Amino acid sequence: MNEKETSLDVQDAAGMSGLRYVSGGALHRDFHASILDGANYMLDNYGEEALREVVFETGTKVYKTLHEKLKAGDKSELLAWWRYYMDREGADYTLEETDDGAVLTVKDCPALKHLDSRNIPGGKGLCTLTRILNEAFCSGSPYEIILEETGDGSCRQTLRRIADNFRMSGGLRTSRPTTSPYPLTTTTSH
Amino acid sequence: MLPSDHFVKFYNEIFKYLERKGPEELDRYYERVAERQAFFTLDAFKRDGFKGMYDYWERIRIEENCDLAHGFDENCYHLKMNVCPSLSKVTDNDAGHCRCYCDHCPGWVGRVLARAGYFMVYDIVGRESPECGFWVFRTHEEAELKRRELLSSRDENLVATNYLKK
Repeated sequence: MNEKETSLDVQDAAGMSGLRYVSGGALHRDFHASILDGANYMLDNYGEEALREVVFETGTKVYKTLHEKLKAGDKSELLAWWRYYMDREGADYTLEETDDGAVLTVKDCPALKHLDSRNIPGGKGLCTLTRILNEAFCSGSPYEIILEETGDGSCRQTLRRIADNFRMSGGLRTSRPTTSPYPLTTTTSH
Repeated sequence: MLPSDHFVKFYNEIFKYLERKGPEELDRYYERVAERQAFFTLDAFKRDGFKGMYDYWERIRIEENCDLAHGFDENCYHLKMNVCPSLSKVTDNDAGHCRCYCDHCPGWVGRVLARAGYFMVYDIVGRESPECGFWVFRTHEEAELKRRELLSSRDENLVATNYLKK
């Protein structure tokens, strides 16, 4: 069984949190390696824009309800998603709501921890993937999420309103930082 | 962090992208997945044969919350997936599911089993319903008998092997 069972029944969690997707039962943590490998495959074979396209499809269409709520200025599903999956994956974290957003502080990332336990290199690529996913969540919304890696598998993700930069259109943003988070680190030996 | 629970939804988006590029691009990706999955499986399949397969998919049954039955005898390993959690998650999805989603399973499993020296016959059953099954044999002849048996009741594109070219 999962090392850390969620305290909520699946249906209760869905009803109480307003999450579109909730999962019960055990976790197959090797899927963190599969996520990293899928991202690296896209990057290595089709380039950065292809990877962004796939992650944006995930962030805006798979997570359609979360994305639509952010566009409407409602952060509730994102916060519920962070809380639910950090709990489910057994993360050591805090989540604080602020006046204009929230701060998620992950002290020990469960995905990076699992890759380390499997001796799978390149885990930082998952941090880059998270940045793109966050960008997709927030595209066309009055929010942005800033992810700061704070060392040893920890990070701080700050959700804040950026109404001045609010873009009405969805899809790929063209105003990416000049210091690109790419490339993802390619795994070579798992 | 993309949750491990949602890997399959991300995977599904990769398949959609590759499908637009052409079937050969999907096949190339299955090759890569097989290479990666060999890291977790190949040694055990080679060393322990059908028992190694049973042990691997028993772990998957638990960790991926699969409703499946499996077992083996001297001649064959067989797995029957009653409710596939992967396709179930992918079809419960606001982004919709890729029609070729199921193909990745025979795509990587067949390749790893071939590298271990086994012959696989895979019954996809259907692309909308989350059930399937496969058989693993030591000989080509036994596999071919099973494939022909399946083809008496299945469309050809729902039966995959790791020894016949598409």
